[in-house]
Amino acid sequence: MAESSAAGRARRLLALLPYLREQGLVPLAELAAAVGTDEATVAEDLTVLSLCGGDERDPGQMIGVCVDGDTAEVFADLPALERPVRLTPAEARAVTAALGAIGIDPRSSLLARLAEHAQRDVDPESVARSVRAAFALDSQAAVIAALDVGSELGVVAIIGYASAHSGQESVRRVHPWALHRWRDTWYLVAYCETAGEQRTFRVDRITSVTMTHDPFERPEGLRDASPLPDFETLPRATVVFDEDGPDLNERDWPGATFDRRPDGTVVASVPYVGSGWLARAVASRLGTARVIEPAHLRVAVARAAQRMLDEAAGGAPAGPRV
Amino acid sequence: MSVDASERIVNLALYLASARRPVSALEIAAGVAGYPADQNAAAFGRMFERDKDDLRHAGFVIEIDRSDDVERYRVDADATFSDTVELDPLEAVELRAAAAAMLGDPSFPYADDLRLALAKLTAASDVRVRASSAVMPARSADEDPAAQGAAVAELTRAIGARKRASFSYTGAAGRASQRTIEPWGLFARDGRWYLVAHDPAADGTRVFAVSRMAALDVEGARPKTPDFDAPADFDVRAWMLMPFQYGEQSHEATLRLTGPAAHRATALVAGQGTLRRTADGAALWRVPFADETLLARWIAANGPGIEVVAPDSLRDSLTAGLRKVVEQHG
Repeated sequence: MAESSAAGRARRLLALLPYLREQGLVPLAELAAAVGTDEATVAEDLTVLSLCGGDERDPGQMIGVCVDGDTAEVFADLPALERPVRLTPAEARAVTAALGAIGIDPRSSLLARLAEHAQRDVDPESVARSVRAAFALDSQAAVIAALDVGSELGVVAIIGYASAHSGQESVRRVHPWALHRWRDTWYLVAYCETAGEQRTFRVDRITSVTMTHDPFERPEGLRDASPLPDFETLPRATVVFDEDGPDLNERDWPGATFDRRPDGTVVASVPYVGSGWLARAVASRLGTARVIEPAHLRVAVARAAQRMLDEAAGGAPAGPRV
Repeated sequence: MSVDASERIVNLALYLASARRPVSALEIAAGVAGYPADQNAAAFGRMFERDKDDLRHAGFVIEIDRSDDVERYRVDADATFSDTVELDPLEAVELRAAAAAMLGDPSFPYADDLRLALAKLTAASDVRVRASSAVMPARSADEDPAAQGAAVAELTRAIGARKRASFSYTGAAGRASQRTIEPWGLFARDGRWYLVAHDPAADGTRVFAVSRMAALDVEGARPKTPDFDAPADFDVRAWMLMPFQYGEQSHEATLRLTGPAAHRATALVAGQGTLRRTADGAALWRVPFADETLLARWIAANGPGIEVVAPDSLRDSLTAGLRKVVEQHG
């Protein structure tokens, strides 16, 4: 059953109370951010709260708050509710799922501590047995947090990056601009000083983050920076697949078009940024897909396959250990 | 003067929280502003029931004392209230980053609960709320994300209350059929939410893509009485199979993950098989599989740093396939 709007508002009103514990002025923006709504809604909420209390005949038992412009004034002690209310099972599930999305395991010490703040019967591990939004990656949450702080402070970060293409780890100086989650994967959009251009990095391949004290300039309009390229402007490769399959679709091959031939083969036109991703995607079909053109991509596919053969034969292992 | 329902619920919360002893419904009707003085006992009873449920949703544990003829109510203070939460600065940023990503993600089914949870947690700790973050709203699902999020929120309630759900389902072949199922678990993978459910008509457990459901309806009758029992040891992870695991998993592979693959091992293996770290910083992964060709393809797609330890046939089909790729592109 969906919660009624009155019940939803009541939950928000009760969540606001701890922020009104001390007498003084509180910016509406701060209260709005705290309960995740806008200032106009918080202003309405506070007006409702000012009418609430233990006994309307006794002003000392009413919630002493009023709104003046963009500020709330708390002018009396709050009646009762001086301690924070525990998380409900539904709220604990929401926190477990959201932290899971950045890579935090249900068994982490953070979730164990938050569970102590939840009602008695709440256990993040059993929550995760019925709902799984993502799989934990030990280091990913810390990398995201470090890059988020770096971005907030506007300082250059030094990252270790394990390339999917070569398996080699490189050390790069980057300006952390934005972090995106797309499907199950996190991306860092950054200016890479080492490459001298804007780059998108997979966060699960970032092996270390160190913050410098060097400030960087943030370009305008960054909120639109997307980890996905504009497929219209990209070069295209022609790839022939021996047979059709459920994985030959635009979701798995972003921006691609497919031409299904009478002989059962499928000819695809696939946009690509660098040669690395497409070369690996074709090589991993293990002989059931071929790049027709461009020629340099054919070379990249052969090299990618050869590198994997060398590795399988006990060739040079990938990069420095982390 | 008529009083807004949310105002009355807050009044009830304050009244119960400040009561020094259990209070009867009669005392509540008289002492809490918002219950109309002229309504009859039955109408008051219904309103009070709803308000108590709403308070429970907000986190109040309300106990009923039946020690004499009259039912009396009290807030269980220890079960309802907590002390401060200790978070180190990095954890606080992790919490904010997760919130920045998921609160703006239309496919995230628990945004309302997350908002209120964060309000409680930040009030209970000395974490500063920050409005902006480098973390952008996530796009965890790519096919009609808002519809998937709403359906998953609905199914989550059905799982919690153990109520049957029905929907029209369009299978891979494009044919729609009507299903009535017992929902057990939900998981998200690569842009899609999936439901794991017992299908009594098929007498089996099935996985449904939420984006292929239409006209979802959760049994509304007797909301507090479960329709079914789910297995006590149910773990949705057992149903999050990899592409090479569909069918009879009659074989097991051992793979050695090194370098970058070892670094992201827990995400790569996604809860399947058993993962063991070795002293040299690598990891050994033993995983059951059904389709050797698809496993070989998975290794090639997710390396470098994934080496076949066993079986030999898997190593052979991987190397034979890669040799063919080299020949074709030479």
